[in-house]
Amino acid sequence: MTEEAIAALLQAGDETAWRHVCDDLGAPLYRYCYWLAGADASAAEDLRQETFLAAIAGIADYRGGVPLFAWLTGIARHKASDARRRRRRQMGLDEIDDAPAADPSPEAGALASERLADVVETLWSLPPDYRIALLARYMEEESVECVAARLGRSYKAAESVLSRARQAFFERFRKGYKHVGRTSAH
Amino acid sequence: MSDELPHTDEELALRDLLRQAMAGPDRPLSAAQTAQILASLPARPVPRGRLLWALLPAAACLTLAIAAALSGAVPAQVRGLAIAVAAGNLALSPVAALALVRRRRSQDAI
Repeated sequence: MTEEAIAALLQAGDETAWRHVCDDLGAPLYRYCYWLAGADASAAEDLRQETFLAAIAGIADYRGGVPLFAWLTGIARHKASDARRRRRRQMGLDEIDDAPAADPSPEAGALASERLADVVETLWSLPPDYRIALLARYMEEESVECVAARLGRSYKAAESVLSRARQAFFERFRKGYKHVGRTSAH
Repeated sequence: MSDELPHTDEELALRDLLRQAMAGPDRPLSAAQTAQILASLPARPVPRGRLLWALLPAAACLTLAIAAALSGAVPAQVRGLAIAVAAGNLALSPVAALALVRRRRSQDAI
């Protein structure tokens, strides 16, 4: 099913389609939120839930031009940045946070954490075959033969999928990571 | 490192990135969390055709019961039964309607 067809079902409020989204993307979205929230498990739970609720409220804006997971992570990013702003306002720390930090390690940690969130986003925005191949080969260190068996393709075809998947991953990741660098520089 | 293992710089970088990113906890949505999310879906209007098919048998049953209750041609026992069915149907209709409205409101409130 194309992203556009899924978008149409979600916009029609189809409960089964939404349940599929929750089942398929709930865990990767949690992992994304976990890194985005600076490895805070409880904040990640809240952020994921808020993201799904906001996605239902704003599904009319989703046209299917970008992968659904990328659209969800966009919402999560906005929600996380709103939460950070609220926290700062509540604590009256605007001035303190804007000042150059004496110890750069928390900033560096947040940046590293956001980078890992970007890895998750990139991975789940790839076609499923690419994701399966990359995880099998580089996470689980499976041989190309095993990857081929997983994908139900020949050895040569699996090699080709792996090569295209690597290329797609780095293209997308570098594009996304430029954005992280820009925002963190502010 | 054997040929079977990743060995180019790009592959090694990818392996490190994936390992770090996937080290984060894996937590699918619980049934309660999914239910909460799905409960926020806007109530969908019932298609007119489906509504008609749901109402038609009830309306036919009520019409038949009223006709039988008013008709002098049917035996007294059947008339009594028809009156009971018609009265029960009429009495329960507002209760069912009220239950439906309440359910719809509670869905909207979420």
